[in-house]
Amino acid sequence: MKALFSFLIVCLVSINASAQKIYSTPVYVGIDVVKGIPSYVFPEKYFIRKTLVIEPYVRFNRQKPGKSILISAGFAKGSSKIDPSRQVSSQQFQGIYFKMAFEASNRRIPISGGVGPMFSISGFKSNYQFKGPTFGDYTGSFHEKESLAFGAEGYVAYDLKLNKKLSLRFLIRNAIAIRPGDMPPPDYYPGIGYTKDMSQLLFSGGFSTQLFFRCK
Amino acid sequence: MGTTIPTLLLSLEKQTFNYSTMKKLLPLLFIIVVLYGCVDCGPQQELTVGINFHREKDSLHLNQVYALGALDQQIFNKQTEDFNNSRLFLTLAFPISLLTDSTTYVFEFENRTDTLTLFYQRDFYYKKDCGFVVDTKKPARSEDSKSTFSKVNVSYDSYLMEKVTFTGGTGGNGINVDVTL
Repeated sequence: MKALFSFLIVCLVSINASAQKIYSTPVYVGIDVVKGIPSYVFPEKYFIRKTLVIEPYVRFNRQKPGKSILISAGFAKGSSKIDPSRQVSSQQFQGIYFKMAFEASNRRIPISGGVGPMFSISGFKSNYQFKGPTFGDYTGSFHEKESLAFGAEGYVAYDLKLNKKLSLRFLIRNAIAIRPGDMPPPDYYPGIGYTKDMSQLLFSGGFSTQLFFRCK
Repeated sequence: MGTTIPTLLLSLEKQTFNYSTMKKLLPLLFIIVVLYGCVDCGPQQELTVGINFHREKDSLHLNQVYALGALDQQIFNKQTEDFNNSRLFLTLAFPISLLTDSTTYVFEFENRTDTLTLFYQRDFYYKKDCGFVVDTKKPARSEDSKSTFSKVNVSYDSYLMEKVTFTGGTGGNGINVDVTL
């Protein structure tokens, strides 16, 4: 997992380096500033608990006006909300993901839309329980080391310029992915989002906020 | 123009018949598809075994029955009552422990005490669209039971039905024990 994460970072850096040569400036680097925070603020109410999500971005313009490419590699580690009424009351997850989007921007208003492929490699740990009123409950454990999901993500974003270098991006995103194999449904899939009760076809959407810094 | 008016009316009538018949058959087809598409998830809780008692005289009185290691013995009061209210043949359901691969029951009769230890292999796994399920298998060891009863015969079947049909499906009987007192 660590090796793969390092590999993705190297890829990201090299793509960024070559992008600066091939494509026109400016180049933006960004990071998601919202994901994971509610899980620390409302650990008992939010659908994930104490979840670390690191999602950096690189965005550079293509030679066509109003067109750009966004590349991101992310990491998420945490656990889902505890629900004692379920057979699997909570899940622990850890995963890395890679996303790319081809983006088009409106030239008059700062609204952009993007769509592109994504894939995620994640691991899940959980305990399941069988009620045993006579002899006591049985608790078993389940560990899915590496689960692969691949699909696409689309978004609509609004860019708010803070100053010459910094901008905030508010976006609505939707991801759809396929996860081969008959494994227990993940409560949260890193890179995709809330996927409770979805085992093979994963679909999730949400809002997010990203902070971008203009490099050149 | 080779089509006459009676032929046209007949074909129209046929079409109407076909349409109305289809309309009636559609819910039936839907039920068949749904039933045949059903999956038996099996039990997702503590399992029970069926113990068939064969006794030669109906005067044998059971004072109490209990299971070793059970946290709650309440369920066995009902089994004791049912045993004493029945005649020669009787089948009772007894819970088995999911925490170990064997369960021991102690039967305290008026003038004797018998024990019955059942061996089995627990099988926990994930089943698509069902969640985690529990089933049992024949034990890996050679003996399937230990008892002071005169004769004990244990049969093992899956707790999950093989196929769900209109009549309820096949299999899914679980563990059954024949005890001769």
